Amino acid sequence: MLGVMRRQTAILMSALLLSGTAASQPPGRTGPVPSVRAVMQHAQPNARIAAIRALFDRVQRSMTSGSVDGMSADLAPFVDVNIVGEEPGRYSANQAASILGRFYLARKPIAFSFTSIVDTLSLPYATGPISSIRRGNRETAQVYVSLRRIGSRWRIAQLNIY
Amino acid sequence: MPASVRWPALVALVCIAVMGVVFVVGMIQERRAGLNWPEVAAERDAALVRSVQQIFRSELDDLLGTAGVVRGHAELYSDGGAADRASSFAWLRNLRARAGISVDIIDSTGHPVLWAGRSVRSKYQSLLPGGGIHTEAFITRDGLQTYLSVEVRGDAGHAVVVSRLLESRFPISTRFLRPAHFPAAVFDETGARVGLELDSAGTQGADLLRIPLMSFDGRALAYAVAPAPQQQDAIVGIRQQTQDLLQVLGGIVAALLTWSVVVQVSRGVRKELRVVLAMAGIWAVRLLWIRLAVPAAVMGGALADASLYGSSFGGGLASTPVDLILSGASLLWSVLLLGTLSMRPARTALALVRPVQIRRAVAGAELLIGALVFVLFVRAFAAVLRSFLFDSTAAYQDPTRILPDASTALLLAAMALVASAFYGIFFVLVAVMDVAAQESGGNRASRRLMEVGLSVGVSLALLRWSEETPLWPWYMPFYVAGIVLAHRWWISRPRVGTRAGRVEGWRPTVIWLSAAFLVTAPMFYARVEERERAQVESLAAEVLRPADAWLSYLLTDGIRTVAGIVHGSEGENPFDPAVAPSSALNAWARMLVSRQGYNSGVFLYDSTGHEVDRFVVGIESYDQRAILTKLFDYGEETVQTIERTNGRDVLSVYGIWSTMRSSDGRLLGSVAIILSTGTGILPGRSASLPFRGSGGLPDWRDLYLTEYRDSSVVSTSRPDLFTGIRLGPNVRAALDRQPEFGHWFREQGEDRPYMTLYVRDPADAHHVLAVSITALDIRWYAFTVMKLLSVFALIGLLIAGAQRGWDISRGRRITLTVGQKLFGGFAIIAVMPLIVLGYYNRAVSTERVQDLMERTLRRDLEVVERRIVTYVENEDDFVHGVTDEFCRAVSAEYGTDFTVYRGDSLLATSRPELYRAALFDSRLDGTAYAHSVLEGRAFYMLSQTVGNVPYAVGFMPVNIRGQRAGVVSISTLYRQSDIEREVAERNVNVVGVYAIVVLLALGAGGLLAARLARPLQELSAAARDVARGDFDPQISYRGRDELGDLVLEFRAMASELKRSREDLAHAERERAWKEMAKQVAHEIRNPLTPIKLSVQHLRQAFQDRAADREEILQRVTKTVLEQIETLSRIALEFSHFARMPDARVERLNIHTLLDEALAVFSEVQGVECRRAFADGEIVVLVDHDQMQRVFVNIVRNSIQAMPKGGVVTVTTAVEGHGCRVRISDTGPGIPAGVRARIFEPNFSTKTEGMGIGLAIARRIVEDAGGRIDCESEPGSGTAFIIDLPVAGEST
Repeated sequence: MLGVMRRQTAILMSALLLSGTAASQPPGRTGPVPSVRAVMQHAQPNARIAAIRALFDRVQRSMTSGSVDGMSADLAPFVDVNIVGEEPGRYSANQAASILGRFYLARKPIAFSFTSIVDTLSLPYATGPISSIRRGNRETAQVYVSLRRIGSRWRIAQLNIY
Repeated sequence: MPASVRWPALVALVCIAVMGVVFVVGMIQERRAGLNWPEVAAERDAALVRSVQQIFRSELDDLLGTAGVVRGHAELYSDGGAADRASSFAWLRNLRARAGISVDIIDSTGHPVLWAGRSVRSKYQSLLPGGGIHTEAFITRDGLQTYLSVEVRGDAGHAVVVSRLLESRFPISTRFLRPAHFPAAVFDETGARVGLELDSAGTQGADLLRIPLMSFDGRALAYAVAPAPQQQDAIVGIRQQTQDLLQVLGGIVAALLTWSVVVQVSRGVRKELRVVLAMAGIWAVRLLWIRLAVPAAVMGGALADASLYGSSFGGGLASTPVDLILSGASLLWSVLLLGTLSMRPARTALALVRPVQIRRAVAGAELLIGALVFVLFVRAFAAVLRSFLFDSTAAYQDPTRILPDASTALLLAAMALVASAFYGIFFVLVAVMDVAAQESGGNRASRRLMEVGLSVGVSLALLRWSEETPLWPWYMPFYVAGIVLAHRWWISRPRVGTRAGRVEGWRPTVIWLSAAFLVTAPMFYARVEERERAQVESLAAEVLRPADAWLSYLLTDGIRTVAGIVHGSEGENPFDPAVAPSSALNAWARMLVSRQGYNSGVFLYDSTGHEVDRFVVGIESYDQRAILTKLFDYGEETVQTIERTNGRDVLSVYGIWSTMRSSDGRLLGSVAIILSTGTGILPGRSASLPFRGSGGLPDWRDLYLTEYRDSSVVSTSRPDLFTGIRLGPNVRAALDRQPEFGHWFREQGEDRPYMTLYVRDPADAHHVLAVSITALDIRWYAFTVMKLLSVFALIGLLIAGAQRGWDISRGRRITLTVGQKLFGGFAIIAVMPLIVLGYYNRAVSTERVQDLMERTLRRDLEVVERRIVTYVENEDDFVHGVTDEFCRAVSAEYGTDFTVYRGDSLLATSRPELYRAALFDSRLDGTAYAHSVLEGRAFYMLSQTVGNVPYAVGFMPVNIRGQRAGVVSISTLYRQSDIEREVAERNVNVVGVYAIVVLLALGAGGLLAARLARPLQELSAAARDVARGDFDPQISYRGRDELGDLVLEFRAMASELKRSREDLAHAERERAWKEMAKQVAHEIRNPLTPIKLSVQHLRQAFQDRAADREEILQRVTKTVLEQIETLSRIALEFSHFARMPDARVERLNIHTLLDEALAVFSEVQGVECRRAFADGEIVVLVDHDQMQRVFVNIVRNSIQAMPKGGVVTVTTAVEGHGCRVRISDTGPGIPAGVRARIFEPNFSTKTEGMGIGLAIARRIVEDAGGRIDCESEPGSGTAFIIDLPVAGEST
């Protein structure tokens, strides 16, 4: 009896295992390629603008406080980063957040706001000056943030501080 | 309190005190800045002035020192021939390269005669007559840059001028201009950013501080302008500085105090609690350090470079490489602590569960839960490995280097740490599952394996169902479990140890690292391929994207900049032809495009549309014309783009134009701004701007672009495709089915396999882009496996080296076994050629590519030179006819930019704007001048760097009617990527295969070492056996070589020894028996003689009927009985010697035995017995009677040696693991010749006795595991020393 039960269990487990492996992706297929020309017409224009503005608000709050946490979830899987004093390049979201964190480590932001927000293009962007204190001296830099539609959300695709 | 607690606590207290001081000082400074700002500001200003002036002075002194070195090189001033001058130029060039300066040696007329580096001035002041050394400093502004020079004139008729870049007037990207040292040095020291003004009537303002920069003679050469510190900014800065210091000190204090507390609290608690406390302490400190940003906040370099590696996972566990290493070390430490706990309690607890069915059910549940946790950890490990690749820019797979570079090695070392920690976790979890499987009834290994495998499979299926895109291949959990089980069941079995002194500790470390490597390598590979695909997908999206917002922004910003110039306070009119020659450059230098380092250009047109000025860097004429044409077909202030496929890249050029009007609306002119994504400042093969980040494919990776329109190829860079080829049906079907996705296909080209990504353009359904990369085969993977393995091996060597160093520091003598020496020798011999091969591979590739560049440059120079020679008739024609326009026309004709020099000066160029902007030096390079002009070499090539881009520059003389009229030069991008590609290919082909050979050689070396070491070990053990008396050695080696001969000879030697010993023993026994027989005969004869004589006398008396025959009878009877007694005693002593009774060993106090033996002689007159016993009891394992006999015998001998009396002294002492009894007398002593034989049987100097007493004594003592010895000198008494093992040490 015990032997029969064991055999049946083995058959059941094998079936579960095979079905689990069958759930894997077929070869040759990959995830969605970032489609930068695909303007999401599904969303209403007002909702689109509201989403963009909300994201820029989060970025503004986060940068004013000198923290990465408020905007790290909004970073695209790959972000073009060009921050003064750091190596420019295309980085993963995790790495971009770390690089921005290093920027804040050396400087204490004291004021930041977006002075220009362009939300009508397929790649919305915003710019504004950021003032920070570094070693007792005030520094001013310009911030540029541009967004890209990835899936159903807007994400930060480029972040420049120059 | 132990030292391990005391010292860290003391240091922590000191740090706390320092923190207190820092806090108080910070508060005082902050308060002072708040209440007394003018005084504080004045102090800060004074400090800044001092620092800036000191830095400037050190710059001057450095230049002066270099000038001194040049002046001291007398050969430079000799009037030698061209060859001498060429060597002088070469010497100066080397000096310049080392010191980063420019050097001019000028003659008495002020003209440079020798030089290296860019020219600062074309002519200096004429040398003043008279002697003496005169030193002068001056500043020169040349285009966009400002130079500081020091001139030293002597009495040698020459002066030396050494110059260094002091400042770049605009913050232009270092792609175009080298960074200046002075502002960076000031910023590093003071945190202030300074600008430079040359005259005193410069920028004024209350918020600015003007610091005079003094020359040697106290004259102000220039002024450094820095913003004056503001009160609030200064206070914030003080707070920041104080906080940073407190954070660092706080981190140190936390670590030290945690250590002390954990060590102190852990004393006397259970092992499990100790482990928990230690782990809690480790992670408490780690999390606190993350919160305080320690140590990343105070570190620099690769360790703190988030662009090398950075992840925001876990709130900062791995935000920089140093954080990653610390977190990995903490995890590994925790796992090692957990590993010290035993599984026995768990097994015992499980065994107590009753009845058996419930126990099996509990074990089964434990098995499933353990498997689920195990699979979750495998997933976590896969995620960590993915982070190593995706959140990093390290070139793990770089085949251009055999060994990884420092930053990559750092990350690989971190990976090894983390992998080792995770492997430990896998080990523990699989151990738990193995125990549970065993308890659930899986007694045999195969049954347990099946149950473990099934439970892993169920867990895997559950997890895979819940995930859309699994992180790892499905077989990974089984693979990991298999490695761990193999480790547990087969590799970890204890081996027979070798001799003491040989290091055994490294072996577990090697096995652990090897297992961690085996677990890591396949998952690492899966991620490498995934990252490559992501990079290609990103590139495809980049190609298909429209005008990028950032680039558009840069262009519109440029328009705003020009508008600012026009409408600014200075009211410049850049469109005015009078200021034209530099207006485009000035506008460009102020734009964001120049700061960002993009190849770009500015075109200025007057109100009639005529070009007034232009400045373009890095964009070919063809592309300039194309974009400008497109621009003016469209309205102003709209960004236009053109794209051109260039080999592996798509080159995009963006442009915008706009009109500029005065404040009253009058049209002043127009401006057009263009930029491209190319990298070369000079024309050459342009490439897309390479991203250093994780989105960029390395140069050595072949990449091909193909465009399809209506399913046919319209353009391609793939060598096996051509226009018109149709898209494959499977590709079309995939694209039709899911057009929003990219689709990967593996294709076999004509000469190599490819991996191709097909993407349909979202904006144009007829357009399909295909990006192909060469598919990597097993050679590449083998090469990368070898690199990964090399880092793991290096870590293992470092651990072994550290362990040995620790052992040596503790005085342990470390020896290497023969096997280890053999294997080490094999490893060195096998690996060294690999390193040499790697070095020469790069050298060969560099030479090949340089040859290729040289041929290309030579060919292009010949074409241009012939064109010039054809155009001009004579030298005068050359001077006046070869103009910038001519050069541009020829350049457009041949597609090659070039420059023409007359003597050492620029004559004409196809890129005049670059020379006007002083981006390039208008003076011919010194060594090029020496070789091309002075020596007239047909061709000369050197490498130059413009900004941070390396170039190869070729020079060729222009000969007109046999006369050298000038020199033409052409530059090309230094084809480093070609070198890298070739090195990569060769490394993989040759080195990858060689690495496999190295591994085979190491494996063979290990096997050979083991084969050689085993028989040597057996021989060593056999020698020990022979020494113990076992003459039948067990040696299994049967080889027919030198070792086999040695084994045979050893066996023969042992056999011979055995026979000799038997013969010797036989001869000894025979001799002993003969001696015994002789002694017996002698001893028996003695009493027999008086018996015979007495009986004869009695017989005679009775025959003679003597009157006293009764008396004679009595006398004879007495004599006979006495002699019979003597005979009995002789027989008894012989019996004792021949057959010692079985010893009855018991634990006895040696002092008691000695007392009993001395008591026998207590009545002896004239002899004093003294005792000097050690404190306490000395317990030995001996037979009471036998040992007492020994002591009695010795004491009696001592007494007998002192017939007139004396002293017998008995002392005892404990020495090491034994005791020593010394019985000494004050007798006459024993001569050396006699002393040597006193322990022999039947040797005696006395008239009575058998002479076997001491022989018996020695036998008794030796049977008890001790030894007996005699010390004596005639006239000094005799001492017998008996050493016996103390009870408990002997078995």
